[in-house]
Amino acid sequence: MKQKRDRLNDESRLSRFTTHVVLIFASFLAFGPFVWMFLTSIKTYEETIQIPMKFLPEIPQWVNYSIVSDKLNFPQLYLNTILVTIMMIVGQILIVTICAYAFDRLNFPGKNVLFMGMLALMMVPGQIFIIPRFKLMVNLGLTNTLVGLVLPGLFNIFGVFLMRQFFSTLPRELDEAARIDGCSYFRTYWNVLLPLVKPGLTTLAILGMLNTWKDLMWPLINNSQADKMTLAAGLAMLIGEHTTYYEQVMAGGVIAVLPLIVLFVIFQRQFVEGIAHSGIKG
Amino acid sequence: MKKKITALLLALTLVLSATALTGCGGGGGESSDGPVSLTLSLWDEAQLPVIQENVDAFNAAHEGEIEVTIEQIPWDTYWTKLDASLETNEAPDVFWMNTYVQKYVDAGVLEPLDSYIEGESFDMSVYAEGRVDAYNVDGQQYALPKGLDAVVVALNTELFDRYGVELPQEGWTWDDMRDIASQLRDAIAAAGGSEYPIVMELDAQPSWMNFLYQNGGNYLSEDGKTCGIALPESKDAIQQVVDLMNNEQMAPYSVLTETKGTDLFISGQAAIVFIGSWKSSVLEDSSLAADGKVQLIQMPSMAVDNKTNMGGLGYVMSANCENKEAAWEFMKYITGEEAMAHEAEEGIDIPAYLSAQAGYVENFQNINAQAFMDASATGFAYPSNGNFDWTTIVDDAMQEALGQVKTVDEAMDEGAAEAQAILDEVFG
Repeated sequence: MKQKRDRLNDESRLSRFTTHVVLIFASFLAFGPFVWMFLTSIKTYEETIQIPMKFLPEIPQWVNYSIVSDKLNFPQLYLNTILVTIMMIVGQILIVTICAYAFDRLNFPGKNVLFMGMLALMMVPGQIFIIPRFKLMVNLGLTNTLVGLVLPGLFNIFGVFLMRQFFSTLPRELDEAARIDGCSYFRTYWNVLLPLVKPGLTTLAILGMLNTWKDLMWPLINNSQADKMTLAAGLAMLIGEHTTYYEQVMAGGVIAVLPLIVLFVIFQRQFVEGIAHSGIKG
Repeated sequence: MKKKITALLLALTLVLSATALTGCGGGGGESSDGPVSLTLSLWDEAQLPVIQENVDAFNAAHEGEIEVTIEQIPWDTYWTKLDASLETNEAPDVFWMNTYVQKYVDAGVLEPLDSYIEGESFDMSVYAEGRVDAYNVDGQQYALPKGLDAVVVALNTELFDRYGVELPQEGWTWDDMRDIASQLRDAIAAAGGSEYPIVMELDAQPSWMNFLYQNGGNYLSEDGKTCGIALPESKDAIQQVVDLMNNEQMAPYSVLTETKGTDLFISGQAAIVFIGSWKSSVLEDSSLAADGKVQLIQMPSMAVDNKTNMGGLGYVMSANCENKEAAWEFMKYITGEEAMAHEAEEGIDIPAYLSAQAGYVENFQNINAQAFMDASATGFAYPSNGNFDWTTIVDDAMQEALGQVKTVDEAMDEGAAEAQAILDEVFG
């Protein structure tokens, strides 16, 4: 009996050790870039390009933060990014789910062809659409607006595919019951099915948020006025043709991610639970 | 509760879109009674503050008539964005141009300036001739030149002192350079040091583009139809660089691909570097220069001479511009004596406007910036014919030769043949 317990202990000790080694390694991978970003942000330009590399700055150059704050209007950039992200998430959830619902629950001629055609579009590299899309925005008068950043991204094909999978797991009996109670197609979608695919919505929202927050190319193309930039586009302004002052870019990077990190720490439980829930239920 | 939140979010979206839309309508700036509004696109973050000051001065002088706003677009996106916007009326009225000028002339999106120049007998000789020529395409002038750049050699005098090697003198040749580099190499090895005698950047402009011409070869023939990298003189020039690397007189290719030559130099890891004037402020601000350890000297001569190629920006006008007279006024001002003297004093660019150049040199305390001016006096325009399919091939061939993936002979012959096929198709 005792022997058995010891062996168990040994095993769990070994596995705990392995787990920790893996986790420590993973956290280095995860935190390394942030640490490096911060250290670079308080170096002088010379220290950032120093060979061999210098890990710590000689004298911390906090002035980089005030330089970069003078160059970029961070409150405005933040506001723009947050507005664009909210509009994108809300809009995507509405449009994508209603489309996914139609593809899963309704029967209409050419449904499958249409769906396959849409999926095929996913294989076309996005860069191809930049110029026609820009022309469209010019004709709509939406260049240099936040709506112009949101509108082209609202219809998310991957999202439709994802949500269709979620809808298809729900039993048809729900629709029938709703029908008998006198629900229209829209009511069935809005009151009965939508609340049941919440895990899918979480996934959709998180993916949408990440993509919108970090999108660089389109904001740079569509908006050229400094007061209509998002954070990512604003930071890109600091990249020069011949010389890039990395310490300023990194100081800007720290300013751009710090509030998010703080938010994550505060709402960590909700974040993790949200994702875990979606795993179980989905 | 949940319904309320959803409703709130929906309402929020609607309100936001509405405000954003009206914001756009109001900002169109096409009003008939206000001042004429012009946009200027540029890419360089480092130059922006000074140019903004010049634009402010222009706006103040034309209060109520012309209002110029700057839109900065980062270098990486500038050309994509320009392509997209030139096809629409969203194009900036005035924007920065460089060696790509021919491409945009061919696309018909640039306004020829000859009628404006002739209309008021505007004197183009106020600008450096080489830069005026660079923007003269098929006999028509498309840009007013802004600045110019040139390539020189920077020396780390501390390393020369430490290893007891004499500094090169003006008028030096590649033989002298090889000799100095060997002495440095041996002294560094004897002392167990890790520095390199010579480093360079692998891009065309600060390095091999100069060598080709200095050795009597060329990159592109005068008529813009023949690629000359397979000429014996061109091959020899590249071979000499490869030999420098093989003899450990220059840092090996693997080091130079990983780290920019100028960064190695500023870190005190190299004694000699070929360097462009666009790096002048970085050099000036380095602690190496602050300690008085940097000396600039003209490039060493190869078989023919030591002339360097010269790039430089220009201001062009969009053919779609709705207020061309106002745009012309602005272009004259922003490339004119007052504005360029200010750029020179701030040290951001060597003016193409000749009488504004004087202030540039005084801006530098730690390096003898006059060397850049001297180099630009004999510089030749960066060769270009507006097609960039063949240049990519030549760039690749150069990297294969320098990296010794292929012999210089093979790389140049194959690269030239492939590039020529494209040139024949486009210009033949």
